[in-house]
Amino acid sequence: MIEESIKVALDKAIEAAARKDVVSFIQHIYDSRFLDGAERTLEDGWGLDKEATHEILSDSVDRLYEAAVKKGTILFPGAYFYKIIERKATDYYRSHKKFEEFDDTREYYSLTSEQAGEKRISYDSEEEHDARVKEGIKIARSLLPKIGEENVQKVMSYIINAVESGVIDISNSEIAEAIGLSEVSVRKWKQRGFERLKRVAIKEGYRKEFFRDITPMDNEEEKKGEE
Amino acid sequence: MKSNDSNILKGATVMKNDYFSAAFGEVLQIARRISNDVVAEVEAIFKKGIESPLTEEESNDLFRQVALTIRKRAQERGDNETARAIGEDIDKLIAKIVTKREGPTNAGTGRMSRQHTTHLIENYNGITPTHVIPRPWFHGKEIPMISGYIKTADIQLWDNNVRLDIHLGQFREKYGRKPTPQELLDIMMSNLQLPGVTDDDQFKIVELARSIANNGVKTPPIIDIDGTLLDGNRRITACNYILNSDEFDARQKKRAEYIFAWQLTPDATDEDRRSVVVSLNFEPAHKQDWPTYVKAQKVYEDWQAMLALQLRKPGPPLQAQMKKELSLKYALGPDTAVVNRYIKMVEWASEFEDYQIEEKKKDKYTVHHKASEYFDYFEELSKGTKPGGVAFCLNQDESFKKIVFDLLFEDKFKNWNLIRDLKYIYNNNEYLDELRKARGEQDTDKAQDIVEGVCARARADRAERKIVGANTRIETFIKWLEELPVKAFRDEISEINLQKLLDALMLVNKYYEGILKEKGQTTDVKTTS
Repeated sequence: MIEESIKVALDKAIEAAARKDVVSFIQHIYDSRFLDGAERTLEDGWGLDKEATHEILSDSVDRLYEAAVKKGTILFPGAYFYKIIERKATDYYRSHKKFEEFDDTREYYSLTSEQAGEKRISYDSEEEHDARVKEGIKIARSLLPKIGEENVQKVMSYIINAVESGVIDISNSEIAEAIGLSEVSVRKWKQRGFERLKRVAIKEGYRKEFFRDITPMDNEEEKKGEE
Repeated sequence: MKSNDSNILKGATVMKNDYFSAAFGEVLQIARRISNDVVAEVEAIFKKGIESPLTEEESNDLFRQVALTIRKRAQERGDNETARAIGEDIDKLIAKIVTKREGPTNAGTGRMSRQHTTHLIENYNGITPTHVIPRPWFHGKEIPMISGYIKTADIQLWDNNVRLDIHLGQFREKYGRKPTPQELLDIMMSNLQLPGVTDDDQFKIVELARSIANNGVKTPPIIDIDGTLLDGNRRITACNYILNSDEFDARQKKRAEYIFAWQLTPDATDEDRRSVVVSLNFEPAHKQDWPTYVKAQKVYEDWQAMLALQLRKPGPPLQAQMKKELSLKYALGPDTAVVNRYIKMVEWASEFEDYQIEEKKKDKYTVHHKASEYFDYFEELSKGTKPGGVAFCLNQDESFKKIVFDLLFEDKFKNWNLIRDLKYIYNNNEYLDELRKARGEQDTDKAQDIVEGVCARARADRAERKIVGANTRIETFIKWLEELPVKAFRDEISEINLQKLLDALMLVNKYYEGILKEKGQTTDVKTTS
């Protein structure tokens, strides 16, 4: 079990940011040891060097600070912070690996579907990436009416809207509250929604290599529940 | 729409191109990322932060960058309040933050929660644990170490070894747990069956064990304070192999039972451990094996010295025993195949060198370099000492051998495979003339083409001759066989040869039946008399 004092440090950091006490914010982040674990994870798990890790983490802390200043409160700061870091790390990969592995985006798109499916991270510029996400949202929305039950559509529609708004973290409780369902139901509909979206997309002729292994599975507990 | 097209569309959906599929996939990925519960991941980060906290130095670096980034972005956003609060003196701010951490007191030192449970032997043959001086450097960091002897059995293989990543993953998937120390050893020894591992000795432990049995562990393995290996998994596995194998004698087993090792000090940080691992596993050692030529020469010299000690030429059993000793001495294992190979190769290389130096008056060292460069070719030259073999043919005709040696010296063989074709060239004047032409050719490329061409033709011709001459050979053989007195079968021809003849005739019978069947004729064997 993680000591509560450590977890609380993140809450304290958010509170400090909300009142724009940046020094306390950094102090609590330090006390939370979250960056210690994140740095080890990025270095050991992602294979990033110290320079890249520090760049990602300092950007992420700034993003957390800015979000906390704007929102005033963040319900699950650990998850929120984790997702910022994950996204920054993915972006870092996108912008750096591109130069290491491909001469240009065309080369990426000239890969076979199987190859591209393995290299899910796209290797293009931010503008190209944004344009593609926009296109992807359009496709996802066009498929939503075909995924069946109304509640599944509602949950998935909420999530797709969140993608469009650039939301970092969206919890089951937040979705549940917004569309008037229980958290357990949201979890179930979400699972079903992802599966059906993929199935419908394949039926519509989209290449499954690009998304077949994207699962909505949350954590171990949920995985067991599904089994 | 043409009917053909409509049929295609009817049976299958039109595949959307990669761009749209990737776009949809990316959105799905983002949707998953933002909506996933990451409780387990967040817990893991916290846990890692507690177990492997950043050192003070690492924290200083990271938080300095954090403060700088927040200040810079705040200025860009026009948030002067935040920028001002961070101030100009970042170092002072960070010094205040980093030294004032709340929570568990061991955090921030960079120490892992390891217990000093494994100690080097207090006194082993008069050697006591002592600091390694000068302090060794790993990945640009000076790290204190203690050196001394340790019992091999007290060392645990490192189960985080990246070398074993795939194996450990497979094991966890199959058994749902981490391997025990014994199972880890079995994995290293390739004794534990894992799908996809086909090599009998994937980590080349046996080879290493033979070297250790003769020379001891030359590079000290590095262990942590709790006995976990940081470097030397293969060496320790090899020692365990020696201790459990009948191949080694008591003296060799003793060498593997206690080994000289380096151990981290109790003050070692997580960063120190990382540096050791990175330095020894990722930075190249720049070690290059001796050329086979050099190794073979050493073995050959020893072989000659062993022979010189014998009063008379040793018989085959004694020679085999001597070669086994030699093989073990050079850690080549109990099988004498390598020693035999080296001896033959050196003999041929020496002949080549003598000819080039003595007769052709070539520079001694240039010749040695050439012999080393083409050393593998001598293995091919030494093969086939019986009629029809390469060595036999070359030994029958000195001028032929000299042509070959000259072609070799002048780089006129494109590859070693061509050596095998020399047996088809022997005794054929036309081909020999062509080889002579290649020898005289100044342009190496052209000469190589000539050699390659003549080898190819001789090879093809040989195959053709085998077929063309078949009838004559059979007729001659049958005539000879039929005229052979019966008593020759009884008294002269060995039982083995009779059996072989019978096998051959049964084979002929089988072929004959097949041919008749193809022709639609009866399978009754016809006789002409």
